[in-house]
Amino acid sequence: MTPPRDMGRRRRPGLPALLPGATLLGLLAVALVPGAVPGAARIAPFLPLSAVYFWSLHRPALLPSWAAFLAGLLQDILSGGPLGLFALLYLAAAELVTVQRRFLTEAPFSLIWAGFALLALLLAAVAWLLSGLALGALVPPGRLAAAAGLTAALYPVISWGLSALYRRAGAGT
Amino acid sequence: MAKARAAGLLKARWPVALLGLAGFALLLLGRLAPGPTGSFRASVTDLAAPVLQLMAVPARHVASGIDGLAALGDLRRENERLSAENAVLLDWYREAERLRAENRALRDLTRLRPRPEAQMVSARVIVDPGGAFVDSLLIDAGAADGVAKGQAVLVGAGLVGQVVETGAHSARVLLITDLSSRVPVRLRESRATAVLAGRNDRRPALRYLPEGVEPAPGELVLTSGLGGLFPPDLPIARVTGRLGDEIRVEPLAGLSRLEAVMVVDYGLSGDVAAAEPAPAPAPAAAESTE
Repeated sequence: MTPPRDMGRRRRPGLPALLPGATLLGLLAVALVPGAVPGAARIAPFLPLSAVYFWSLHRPALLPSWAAFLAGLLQDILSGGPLGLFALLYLAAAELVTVQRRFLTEAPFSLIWAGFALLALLLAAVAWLLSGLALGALVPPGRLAAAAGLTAALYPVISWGLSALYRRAGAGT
Repeated sequence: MAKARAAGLLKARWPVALLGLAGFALLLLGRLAPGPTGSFRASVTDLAAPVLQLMAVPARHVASGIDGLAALGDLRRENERLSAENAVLLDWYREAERLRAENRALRDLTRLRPRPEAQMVSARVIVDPGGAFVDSLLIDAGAADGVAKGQAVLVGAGLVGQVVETGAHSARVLLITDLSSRVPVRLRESRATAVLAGRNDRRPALRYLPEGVEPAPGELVLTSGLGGLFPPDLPIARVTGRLGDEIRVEPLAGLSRLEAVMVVDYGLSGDVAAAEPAPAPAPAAAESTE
């Protein structure tokens, strides 16, 4: 598997430009719709995070922070969780990746993956604390940690899928 | 130079900071004003429900296809088992019919106020978010179908939860495993009452058991009907045992993979405050209003 670096410097209008938003919404739906993927409920909360990370890293212009924020807000609304929680998390993810982008795009895939795992666990911890604030009680951290860990383990597959889609859409190099 | 760059970065980032503040504000608003945020959520959910419903169809086919493949091997055995079970159930059905008739006769004798007939709406689950924070489901029936806040949600095996939010064509169900779920229950054998409290994991806890009552593993937990939220004697869970200093139970319904549920209106108020005995008016005052 060849990791995607900075895919294509030319910007073409049309399909490729819509791809980040569409894949983010797609992963969101997979996370929410019951039985879409066997065992999806276990990774549900953080699955869309992989798309936020991937696009913020490789094509930040196509997935602005506010779009990540809106996707998170939609997830909050539909999942019934604390309103604003995932909106904040995805916003923070997009921003953190933007700050580290110069370093990460030059890095080998293993480092990009490690970066994602770190981000997922960090955000799970933040989510745990923030949800405590929003719900008035701390939820057991086990499910969250498992969700973050599983999502991190899945990142290579999702990253491969997203870059394949992007190339297929005619924007790749 | 670096300072100027940092300042430039900050300036370019102010919309992000604004969004961040908005996120925090929403978090606090959800905590301080759950009513308005709830209805906002319900209206957005209503808009998204048709899309999610559409997406749930292929997902369901994929899931049932996988299940079907797995089950193909022992179809024959399954068939035999079901035939045997059907025979037993038919016996029970006859018994239930007999008891119903007897019950009706006895009620006539004692002039017991009949329980209101339950109204049922069946609905499909369209969103099941996995429940790291909130254990809830979204179903594709709403106020337009007669679903209302407080109604009980069941599957064949037992109580699943309660409707907490309704849109026109969608509703949110709070599962009994959710951190904020509290259901008044009774143990079947000892008849001791307790409260079934969700813990955001698979095994809710039994709280406020009377002193000295130690439920045996396997004992059935039923709704007690206290508080007027649910009718009495709906099966909910089975005691699994003690974990730490809490008695844990396992829900009878497989909550991790619900596809369809039944929303049941028992004609109860669904409101704890309203179910409390109201101060009885003085007889004289009651007569004077007639």
